[in-house]
Amino acid sequence: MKKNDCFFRESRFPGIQKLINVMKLTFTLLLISVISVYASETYSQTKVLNIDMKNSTVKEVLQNIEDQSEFYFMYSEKLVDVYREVSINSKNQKINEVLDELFAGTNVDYKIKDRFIVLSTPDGADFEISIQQQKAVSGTITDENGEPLPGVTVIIKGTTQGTVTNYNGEYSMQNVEPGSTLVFSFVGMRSQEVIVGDQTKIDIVLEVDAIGIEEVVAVGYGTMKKSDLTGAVAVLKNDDIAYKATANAAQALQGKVAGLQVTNSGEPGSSPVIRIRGLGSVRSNTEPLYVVDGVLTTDITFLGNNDIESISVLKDASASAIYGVRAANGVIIITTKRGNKDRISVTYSGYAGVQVPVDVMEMANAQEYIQLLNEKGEIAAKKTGGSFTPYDPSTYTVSTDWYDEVLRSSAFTSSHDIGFSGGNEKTLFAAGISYFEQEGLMLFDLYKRINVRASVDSKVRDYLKIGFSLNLSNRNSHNSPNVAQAAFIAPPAVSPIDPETGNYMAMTEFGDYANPLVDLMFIDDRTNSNRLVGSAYAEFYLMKGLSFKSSFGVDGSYTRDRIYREKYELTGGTPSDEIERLQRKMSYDYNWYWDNTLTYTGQLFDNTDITAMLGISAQDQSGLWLFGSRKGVVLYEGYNALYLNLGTPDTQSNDDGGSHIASSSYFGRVNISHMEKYMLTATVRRDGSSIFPENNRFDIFPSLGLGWVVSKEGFMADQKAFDHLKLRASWGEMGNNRIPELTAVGTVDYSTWNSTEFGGIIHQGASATYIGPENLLWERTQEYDLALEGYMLKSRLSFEVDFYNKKTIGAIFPVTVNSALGASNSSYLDNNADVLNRGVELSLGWKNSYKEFNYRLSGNIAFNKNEVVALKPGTIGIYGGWMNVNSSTYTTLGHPIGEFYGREVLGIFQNMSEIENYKGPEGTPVQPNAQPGDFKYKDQNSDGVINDKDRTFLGTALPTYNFALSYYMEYKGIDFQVDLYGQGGNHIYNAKRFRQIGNENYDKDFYDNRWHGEGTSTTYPSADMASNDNKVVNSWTIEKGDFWRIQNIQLGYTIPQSLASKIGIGGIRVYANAANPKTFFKYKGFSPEIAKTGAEAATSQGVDSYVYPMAATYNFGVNINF
Amino acid sequence: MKRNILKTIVLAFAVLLIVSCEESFLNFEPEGKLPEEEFFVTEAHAEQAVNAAYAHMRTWSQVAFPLYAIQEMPSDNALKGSAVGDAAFLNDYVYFTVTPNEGQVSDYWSSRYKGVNLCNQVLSNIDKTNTSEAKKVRLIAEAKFMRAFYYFDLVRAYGDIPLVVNLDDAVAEASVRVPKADVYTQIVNDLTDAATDLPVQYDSQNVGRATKGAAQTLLAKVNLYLENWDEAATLTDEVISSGQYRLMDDFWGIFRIDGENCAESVFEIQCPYDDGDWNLTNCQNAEPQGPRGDYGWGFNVPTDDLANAYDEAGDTIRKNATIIYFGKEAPNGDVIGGIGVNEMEGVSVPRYNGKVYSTMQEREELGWWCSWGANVRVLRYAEVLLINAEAKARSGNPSGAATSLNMVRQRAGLPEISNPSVEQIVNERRLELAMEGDRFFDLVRTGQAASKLASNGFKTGVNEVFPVPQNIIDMTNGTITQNSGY
Repeated sequence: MKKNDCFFRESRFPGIQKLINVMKLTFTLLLISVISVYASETYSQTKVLNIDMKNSTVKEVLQNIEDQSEFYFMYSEKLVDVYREVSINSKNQKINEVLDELFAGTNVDYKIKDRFIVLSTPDGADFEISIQQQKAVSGTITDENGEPLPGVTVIIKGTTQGTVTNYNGEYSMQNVEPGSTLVFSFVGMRSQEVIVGDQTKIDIVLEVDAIGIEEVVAVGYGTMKKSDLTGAVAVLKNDDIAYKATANAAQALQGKVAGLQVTNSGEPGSSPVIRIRGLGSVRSNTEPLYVVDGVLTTDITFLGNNDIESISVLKDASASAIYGVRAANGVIIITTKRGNKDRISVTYSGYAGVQVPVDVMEMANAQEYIQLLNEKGEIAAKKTGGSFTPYDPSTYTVSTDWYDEVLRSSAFTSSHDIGFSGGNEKTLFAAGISYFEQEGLMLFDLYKRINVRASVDSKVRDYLKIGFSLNLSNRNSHNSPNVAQAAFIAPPAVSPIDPETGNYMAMTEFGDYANPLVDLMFIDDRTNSNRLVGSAYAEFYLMKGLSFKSSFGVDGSYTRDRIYREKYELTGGTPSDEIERLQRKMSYDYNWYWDNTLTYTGQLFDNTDITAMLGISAQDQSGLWLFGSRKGVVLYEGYNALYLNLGTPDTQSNDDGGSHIASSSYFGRVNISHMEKYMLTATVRRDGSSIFPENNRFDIFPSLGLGWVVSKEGFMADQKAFDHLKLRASWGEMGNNRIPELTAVGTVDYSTWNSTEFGGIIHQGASATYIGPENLLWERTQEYDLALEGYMLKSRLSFEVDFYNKKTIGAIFPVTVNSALGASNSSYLDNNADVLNRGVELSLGWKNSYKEFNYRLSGNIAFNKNEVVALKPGTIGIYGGWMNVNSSTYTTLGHPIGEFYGREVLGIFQNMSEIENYKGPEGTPVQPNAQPGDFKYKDQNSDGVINDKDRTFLGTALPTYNFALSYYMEYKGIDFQVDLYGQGGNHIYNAKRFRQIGNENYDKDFYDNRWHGEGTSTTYPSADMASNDNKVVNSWTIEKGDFWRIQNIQLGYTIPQSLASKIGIGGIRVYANAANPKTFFKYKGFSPEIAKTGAEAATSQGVDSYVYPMAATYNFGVNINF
Repeated sequence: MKRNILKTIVLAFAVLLIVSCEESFLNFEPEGKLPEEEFFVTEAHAEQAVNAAYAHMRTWSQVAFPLYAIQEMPSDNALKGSAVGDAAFLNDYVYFTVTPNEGQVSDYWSSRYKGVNLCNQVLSNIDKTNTSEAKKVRLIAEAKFMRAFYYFDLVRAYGDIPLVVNLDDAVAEASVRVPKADVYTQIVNDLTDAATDLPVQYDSQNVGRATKGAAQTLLAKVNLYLENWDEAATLTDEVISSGQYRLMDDFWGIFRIDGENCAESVFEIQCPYDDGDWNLTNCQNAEPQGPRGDYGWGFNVPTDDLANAYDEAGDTIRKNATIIYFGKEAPNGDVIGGIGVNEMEGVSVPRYNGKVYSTMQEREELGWWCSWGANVRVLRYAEVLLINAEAKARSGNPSGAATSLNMVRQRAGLPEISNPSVEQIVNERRLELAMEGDRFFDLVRTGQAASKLASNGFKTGVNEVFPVPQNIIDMTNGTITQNSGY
């Protein structure tokens, strides 16, 4: 092995250095043992034994052989006299030599099969007799209600011999020895063990295990029993999300997990903004890491709800730190559908429905609009000293409701999924195909997705398990331009279409406004992408408790975008020469990973279980894109002739780009559980990422978690209140490397803005004037978590409460470059801030049943406080939330990220004397240019004038709490479920309303409440919102964003089994569902959910400019089990 | 067989341990980009770096809002214009209420320092390239011309400023302001070198690069600010006698796209127009000043005071070319459209800067966005004559002054003035060069700012310069100080 110092690179943690050395040694030792184990094919021929025993029984000798080797013996004491005394001395002998000597002179014969040796007598029947002494056992497994339980695993303890119950809950097993113990287990039920004895029929009633003690949870590079967890991990099953009519699984997560905040936008198929435990970074990506069957990704819009088997949300550092430098925003592990070993099942689930826009803001109509313009013009004229000729309202007979024009009144959606799964003891498979289609509320918006999935897990040999999963998805969408803002500002007193020519109107009568329909009608923007996410693994069981797993996965996608702008003519405007412009973009992304892990599971001492895992991982992400455009591509029938080569050559433009990031990691984890009472989880990961400078590429992320099941202590034995009570505490460090690529690297800029023209010829230019950070590192998050969880009242009540303190150290924060240096960048990203998120999460569940009536009630609530707690000296706060060149947020020390920042409104000037009497310290009017109806601002710095220096903090844009409540009931086949979700504490900048710069339209609420004469309003300004002091960001424009909504109501009916089986199917459930039918909020916009994405999203939270109405979805569905 | 497979896998595992430990797995060149260490190697690199310094001249902060805000709107020539409330911050420049946080102040500043840096990159690195000696001399001279051009804007707008001329000391130089006299010394030195080394003219494929005449003219103009009248007169005499330039007959025509790089042009910013490439076609000097509601945005509009100045002088040719009114005919017959009466902020009848107007014919022939390709006129021969006139008038040579002045007046259709006063020449500068970005600096330079601009809020001792951007004060912890009064 080449001497390589990357293992020994100096570390911030001196102790870790040693640990790494130990790890390396361990690896080497394990490798040696691995190699030796693999020689086992000829184990009996190679294994040598040393025995020196005098006057021992045969049984003792056999015991000795078992102790020093992996051989084990099977015999009947009735046939083989094992109490015969012998003396034996053999050195370096093989097993057959030893046995020959041991049984010399007796009639005992032996057969060696691998490590398994059968002793018998030569008459041959003896062994058979011993088998015949074994017997058959059968029985029925039911639940507490007497319902048969299919799929219960029945195994003989200490062996792999077993079976599962059939659909009627029945099982039968042959060859069970009377002395053996049967173990009955089923997910969600408490396992039971029964000694067979002389029974031949064993019926079992399994009890629901409220603690979920058997539940196995994906925790990253392995699984853990839920009961052994020391970190904050929330688990969702397919059932928890599949019932929702959302476009993708990410959208369905809203309200499902305490501390997970999901903000949906109304665009079909879009990815919601997801935050786990607040916002830890100002400029890095803050979305969680998704791990889909081992593939690390940041986008799961390719997955449908039915593709998913389970989801683990790793919330704290103890759980997430195993993902090291990508874990700081939390980790969501997704396992796609796997087979069940009980039986082959074929399922269909599908629904169809309509979406209708809800809470559509009413806008001023033409008459109201003209009235507002006249009020505005009159006041503005007074300010500028000009004159104003009012519009004559009687000439405007047309009144257009632009949202009516650009939105669908109902949009169709449907989903179909066929699943096929099954398996046996050794092999499980699952396959499926699904189709999802959703029209957007914006006219012509359409999203379609087809998924094909398959997975196989097979224990092909007793030492080898292999498997794979694949998910191929195709997305096909027609992306309508978002004309929400254009529709908001478009004058209503204009007809969309010229009735004489049928052309669209240019809309220049009141200023230069885009006709919102023009972009919708004439821009054809389509995306077609294919994405394949797949992985394969092989797991070797090397020796008892030790296994080696190697998995390789790919995430490849190919996307085509085509935007075509048709030629069109408008009435009343100058023609646009954006004629027949075609743009095409192709992008290709390919990521792969290779993980290798060694896992040891065993006992450290009596009652002390240990699972230790060591692993390495290599990852590589690369992508490229190619863009081209031309004008003059004529639209023929259909869209099949939209190719660049059909355009005008001298209008061509092209560009391309690429990216490449790689990382390599070493990691390890130890779980120790003593008597299922005390648990410890320790992880460490060492990561290297190419995105950082060469001298600064590696770092180590440790974590530690402790668990204490208090209810298992003796002093708790007599209490009845708690069935289960567990205390968890954890600490850990995680990283975030998701900064823009090339942040740390200076490159030459060959963009054509560097080129120029001399003498009519383009002369190429280039520059290299980027100033970057000298020592950029990842963001490092330190998190503490303290939690209490348990079950009470016969496990009917469950609770979990977590307190956390999560500090991002060295958060990426822009550092201002001295502008006199003339760098191409005004700032660069560096580790310059500390951000603290503190919070509490509480989850409660209640479930009970009364005869055939079952119900569940569950809820969660999470509080989070966000604050920038340190800025390195010389770092200046960041202005953000830009709109019309005005910033609306300021991020600085002692405040949450992206807190709103503007002027404080004291009221509305009612008359001139109020303006004249509002005087500064020097006795001069503070707002001398104001008119009645204008905002009166607080002079924060008391300097007698109102300007940018009078800005103050106007409230956080980040929700400080969110909550969800869910109720489910089921009675005689009828089920009913309702989910509520809400959040609050945040503020929204009503930028949509506040983009007034000229004759934009107003909303009806403004019309109804505006100031239009003394005493008419003390809160709303006059219609003159566009003039100087009125249009700056102020406390009137920052509104509270609290809301709660009825997120889902579902009523279902499952047809009785007897009826279903008559028509030859396993079961049918039909249901009706209403998603997001009603949201309660006071904010004066369409929706209080403002989903911001992009590089500056963190400092632009809650800026509402392009948000359009949310949709309520009403759908009917059916689930069929064949 | 089984053994072999297993061994292979185990071996692979071991190999991976080594391989992924190889740092080379993480070491690769940036995708699709040339690392900056690979730059400044060849002659092509040196040329590309110089071209980038030219290209920077046409960017937004050089030619659009920050330019109007600092150089024209504070003067008596222009108002914000446009619709009420649109880009209201520009009124801070009209009415002298600007604060150090205002965006145009910092954009104007940082953009010009970017230009300086692009020149410094050339001057500090060109020796590392294999550029031929003759080419190197020319490229250095071009870079020096442009550095002086950028610093001249900075020193006029902010007074004392950081003087960054050396890449090695850039951080230290950028952290302290030097007296404006030192900046002027640097400008004069750079322009003197440039005037020596730049060619008188270029081949047809390089028309538009800085010439000897451009350097001499800019140096003469700098000397007006330094009140070195003799130098200004001598330099402009040389330009005049070089025979390279002449006044065009058609004043309106100079400013049309057909008039680019005409015989009157001493230096103009070359703005390419390529329909497919909006990084190349990115000069937005004209569009924001174009008729609002037509193709433009309607900012930076001429005042009635300017119109009156033309009327008082009986100057219709230049008035009609400089101020175009809504509903009236431009000199080429276009009827100006866009927003109507009472729809423009500050004036009743909308009007626009005619010198950057895109005619309907141009839009028809070259494309709707052709204004993005219109060159920005920086130095014209008319200004050479006016500098010459002013310098001579101020240094006691009224007849020499009259010769130059009257050439300009004659083209404008105005009678000759035999013995012109400095005031008359300065007024002629206003009429000839209105809306070309000199008026505010001229008012300050000639001491007329207080009297002409007091009604807009001009405060003597404060508003002669603009505030230093707040962020550089913050980030240098105050080693860069603020101008007094801000």
